[in-house]
Parts: sequence; C-alpha cells; structure tokens
Amino acid sequence: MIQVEHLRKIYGEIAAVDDATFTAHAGEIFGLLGPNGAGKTTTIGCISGLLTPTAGRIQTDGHDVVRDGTAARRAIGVVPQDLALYDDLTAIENLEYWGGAQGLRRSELKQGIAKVLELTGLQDRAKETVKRYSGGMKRRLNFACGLLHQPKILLLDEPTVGVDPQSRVRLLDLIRGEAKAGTCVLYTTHYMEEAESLCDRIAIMDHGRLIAQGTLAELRAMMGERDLLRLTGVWNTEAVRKALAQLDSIEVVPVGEGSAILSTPNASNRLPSVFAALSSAGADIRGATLTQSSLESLFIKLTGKELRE
Amino acid sequence: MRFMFLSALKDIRRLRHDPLTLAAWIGTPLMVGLLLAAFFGREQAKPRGLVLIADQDKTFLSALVSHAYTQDKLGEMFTVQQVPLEEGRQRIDSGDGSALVIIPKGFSKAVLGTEQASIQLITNPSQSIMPDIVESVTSVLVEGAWRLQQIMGDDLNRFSGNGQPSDADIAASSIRYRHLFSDIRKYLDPLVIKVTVEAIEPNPGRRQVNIGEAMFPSMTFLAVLFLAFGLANDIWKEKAHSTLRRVVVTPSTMAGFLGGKVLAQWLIFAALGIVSLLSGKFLIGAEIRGAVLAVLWIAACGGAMYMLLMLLNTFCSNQRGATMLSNLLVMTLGMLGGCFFPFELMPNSLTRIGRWAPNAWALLRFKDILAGHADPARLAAAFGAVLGLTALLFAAGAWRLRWRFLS
Repeated sequence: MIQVEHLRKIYGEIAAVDDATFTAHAGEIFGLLGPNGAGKTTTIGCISGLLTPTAGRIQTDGHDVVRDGTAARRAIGVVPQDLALYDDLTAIENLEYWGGAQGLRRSELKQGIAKVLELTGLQDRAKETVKRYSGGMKRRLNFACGLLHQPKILLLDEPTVGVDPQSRVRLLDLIRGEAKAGTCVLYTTHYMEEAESLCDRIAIMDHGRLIAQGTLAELRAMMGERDLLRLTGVWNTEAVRKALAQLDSIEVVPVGEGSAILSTPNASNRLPSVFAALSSAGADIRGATLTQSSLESLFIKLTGKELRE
Repeated sequence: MRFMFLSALKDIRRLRHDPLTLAAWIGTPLMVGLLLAAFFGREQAKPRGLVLIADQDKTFLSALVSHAYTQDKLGEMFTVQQVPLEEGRQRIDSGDGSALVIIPKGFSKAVLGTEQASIQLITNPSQSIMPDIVESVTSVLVEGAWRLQQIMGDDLNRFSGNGQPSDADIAASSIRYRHLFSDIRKYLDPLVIKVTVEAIEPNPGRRQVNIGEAMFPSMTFLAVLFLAFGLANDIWKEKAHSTLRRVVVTPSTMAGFLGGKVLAQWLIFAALGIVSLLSGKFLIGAEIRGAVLAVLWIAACGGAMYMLLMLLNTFCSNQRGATMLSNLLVMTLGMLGGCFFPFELMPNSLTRIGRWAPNAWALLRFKDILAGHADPARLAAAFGAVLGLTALLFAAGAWRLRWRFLS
C-alpha cells in the first residue's frame, strides 16, 4: 500500500529525511517512532503530497505521489498533527467541506458524515460551531475529517497529542478498527507505550534516518535486547550463582540474599529451565517478575540517548 | 468546479457564523452614508454666519443698523445676536461668530448732527467668506449714513438741536426737498443707467450636487479597499489553522480553493455595493443610474483588489509584516486614488499622480456608471481589463499559495 524507497528531503543543508525506505501493507498499523524533529512529519508530508521529495520514490496504492499526485492522494486520508479545522463552522459543515474536497458526492457524503459522527461520538454536538468544542472533541473531529471518505491509506501524525485519556482510548480503538477493516495505517508518535500497544510493525527514526524497523519482537531480537527476570526467595547465594552459570545465555546482573535479577533473551521461554536449575540448587522461590525490554530501552541502546519529547 | 463552489459556500458560511465582522464590513458604506448625511444633509450646503452686535447707543437709528444685517437675502445667511460689549469681544476672540459690530454710544447723535460717526467692526480671521460679507454690508451702511448727512444733515441737526421744530421750518424744508427731488428726477425717473439683473436659473437637466453626494463614490471605494484588506488577511487564518495544508493533501486543487474564495468575495463585494448604493440614494440623496452595472463594477474591482492584496500577503513571512505592508498599500492607494479625498479637493500635482492609481481608474469608471455617462464599449473593455487582471493575479496567487506560502 505504501512504498517508500530511499526518500530524502533536504532543507538547505539539513536532511530532514535521509534515505528512508519502508513498506506498509493493507490491514497493518505501521508505526514511525522517534523524538520531535526526527523527520516523522516530513515523511508523512512527502507521502501525502504536501512536500516534494528531494530524492527517492513514494507510491501509495500503486500511484507515484509526484507523477500521479491526484490519484495517489485519492487513496489517502490524512489526520494532521495540527487541528486542520474551521473553528467558525459546525462539525457538519467542516465534514461537508472536507468530504467535498475528497470528491464525495451528496448521498455518500451524507452517509459518510453520519458514520464518522457516530464513530467519533460527536453526533449530539454536530451542529455546534467547533470553537465551542473541547480539545478532545476537536481531535476526534480532526480524525473524522481524515476518515470520512474511507481511504485505503490513513496517515496519522501524532493524533493523540494533547488528548484527554478518554478520547485517547476512543481514538486508538478507532484506529485498530480501521486497520481491522483493511486500511493501511501509518502512525507517527513519540509515545513508546502507544507504539508498543498499537503498531504491528515499527520503524524507529532519529535525525531523519530509519535506524531500525520490524515487529516489536523482531526489534527486540535484532538488538539482542534482554528481558529482565526478578526473583525473590530463600537460597544459598553461592549455590544459586553456580546453578545459573550453567545455563546458556543467562546473565546474572546481581544476586544476593533473597533476591536475584537475571538478564536473558526471550525470558518467558526460559522460565522452566531457570526454575529447574534453582530448584536443583535447593532454592525456595517465593516470587518471580518478568519485565520485557521496552522500546524506550531499545531507543536508548540504538541512539545512546533517551527519547525526548 | 464543484470544489470551487464548496469553497465559496464554506467562506460564506464562515462569515455567516461571524455576523459582527460581516456587519462591520458590509455596513461600512452605510455608516459613511449616515455620517455624510449628518454632516452635509441631502440639500445643497448653504453657509450661515453669526453676527454679534454690541449696541451701546440703543436708539432707533442703531436699531436700524442692527436690522440691516437680517434684511431680505441677508436674513438667510446671517443670524444676528445682540450682546454686551465684553461678551461680544470674548466670543469673537474665541472664534464664536463671523463678526462683532460695535455701535458706540452717541452714534445716532453723531449721524444726525453731521459729526463723525463710527461703527467698529471686528471680524473672525478663521472664517473666509462671512466676515467679508459683514464688512461689505457695514460699508454700505456707513456710506448710506454719510449720504443722509450730506442731503439732510443741516435740517436734521437743526431739528435735533432745537427741540420741537416749528411748522414754518418743516414747510421750508419740505419745499427745499421738493426742489431737490425735482432736479434729480430726470436722473432717477427713468434711471439714466439701467441695471439689468439676470439671475442664472438652474438648468432643469442638471442637478445640484451636495457635498455628501460628491464624496459618496470615493467613500464607496474606500470601503472596497478596507473590505479587500480584511478579506485578504484571512489567508493567514487558513495557514495558522492548517486548513490550507489539508487542502493540499486532498485530490482537490489550490485553484479550486482560491477560486471559491474569489467567488465568495465577489458576492460579498456585491452586497457591499448594494448597501452602498442604497445608503447613497436614501441617506445622502445621491442620484444613481445604472445601479446593476455599478454593483457589478464594485464586485469586479473588489475581487481584483482582494487578489492583489492576497498575493501581496503571500510574499510576507508573517502576518504582522503582511498587515503592515497591506496597510501601507491601502492607505497610499486610498489617499492618492481619490478615496479619502475626492480629486476635486486634491492639489493638482497630487491629482496628476493619483489618477495613475488603479483604484482611481476604477473610481472614475464608477462615477461614469453612476452618472449614466459610461460608454458601453469602453465599459465592456474596462470590465474585461479588471477580470483579466484578476485572472493573472489569481494564477500567481494559486501558485504562490501552493509552492511558496506553505513552505
């Protein structure tokens, strides 16, 4: 659905996007994760036709966005980071205008409006001017405007920024629903937990470059990132240390009286062998906590710095 | 094309939701019309002066002098107020009044006694016409008093100095005046010099234009300039709200978006034209011919002015700079192009420059349309020129909006 090949976008001497290549498929939520200024919005701008790439090639639904821009844009629905709404119009008037801009005609426009108003829960306030809406309601309407023409590709540029938790949950559910219905969703965010919970595949971006991409499990594996297993109980520390040392790929971070932290790839699969080794060493295990490696820790490992907002 | 109509509808709806702004824009000519009507009325303006008279003599003769300023036609031009001398001086010093006439005590006695009589006249230097008229009237009065003294002075002096005149004195005086009038009758009846006074009758085919009516076309085009300025500034709101960016990522074109704006502005300018013509006709009493053409002309010129200012906005990096630049252009065009002051009131040197301003050209065509003097062929060419210019500005504006203004 979206094919980006060696995309470059240069402003003066600064490369906002530098040699980015990725593919997003129908029914998939593809996350572009990175700090502010990483080049996520520029990438979406190039895909949506707002910006002209300096180099590289982008296709949406089989159409080249530069050479066949109109056809390429027809397949796309964009939910921009900013609220691209007329706050002096009502929700219905906004939807009529943006639906018209997408080429929807009367009956399908009317049906589309009714559907997205219901989806976003704005039907009760649809005839109010947008300036009277709360921030969350405006976000939902912003989303509805991008969704109205049932696009094959949905480009979401940090759609949950500044949204209250209730609206956020609703928006994320809507996105999952769209992907389930076959829409290809490209989702940019700098919220790690959002990317982790929502995206099927993730590309990590920093300083305009894609530094890694794949499923969450692939990314973890790719980086050799280990899970952490915290154990509590009663044992002989030296006996436990010796028993764990015999297991492959297990790194004992600290072990002391009554507590130990082990680092291991894919820890959930290693739990039986760990418990068996500890049992043979005479340990009485009272508790175990498994912490999977997070994107945050991956990002730190990849870039040497924390993900900044 | 459909998106263009949708865009026009969107802009009209936005204005409908903001009735105060709409009223302020459309109501500008109405307000100007009201002000012009309040200042100048519907009739031709007539100057009216105030003559202060400090009559210290308080005699029959001094009362006649006071009365002279309100005789016949002078009465339509002057209001006379009797004031004490001090108050009169204070008021004329503060500019309240066209002139102060001081009739000193003993004036009557001096006139009747062939002594030197004087009337003191103090005029207001801040007024140009009325004090001159008062001075002329006073000169005539003084000359009349001198003639009276020359002809009847001895008798008047004798009568006034010796109490009640005797019958013989009156009879002798009567005979002397009879001989005098008989001698001069040959000059007076009929008059040797016949003065024919011919008043120029107003041409029934030519209306007298009042000041408000003269300023009305200028004020209308001033409202057009201000409205174009306000509407063009809206592009910054489109940019700030990211709606302009959203248009770019739809399959619709920037030309459709801008075309809708121009279409909406034409309608708004037409509404302005209708309000302007109605206020001109009913508030100022202006004669309006070719009202439909006049409204179309205002709409066409307003659309072109909107496009010019909108294009200018796209060259600026921020709204503040754009507002300043647009203000500068609007004020300069307004001043030079006969919108703030009609050409008739401008110095010739400025008028020569101002006539090159595009709004001046439009204003002159507008006056021709209002007066019913517009030549159809020339008018068609003028409409063509305005629409052609709008098309050029439109093409440049659409390109700049898409490729420069958003980046």
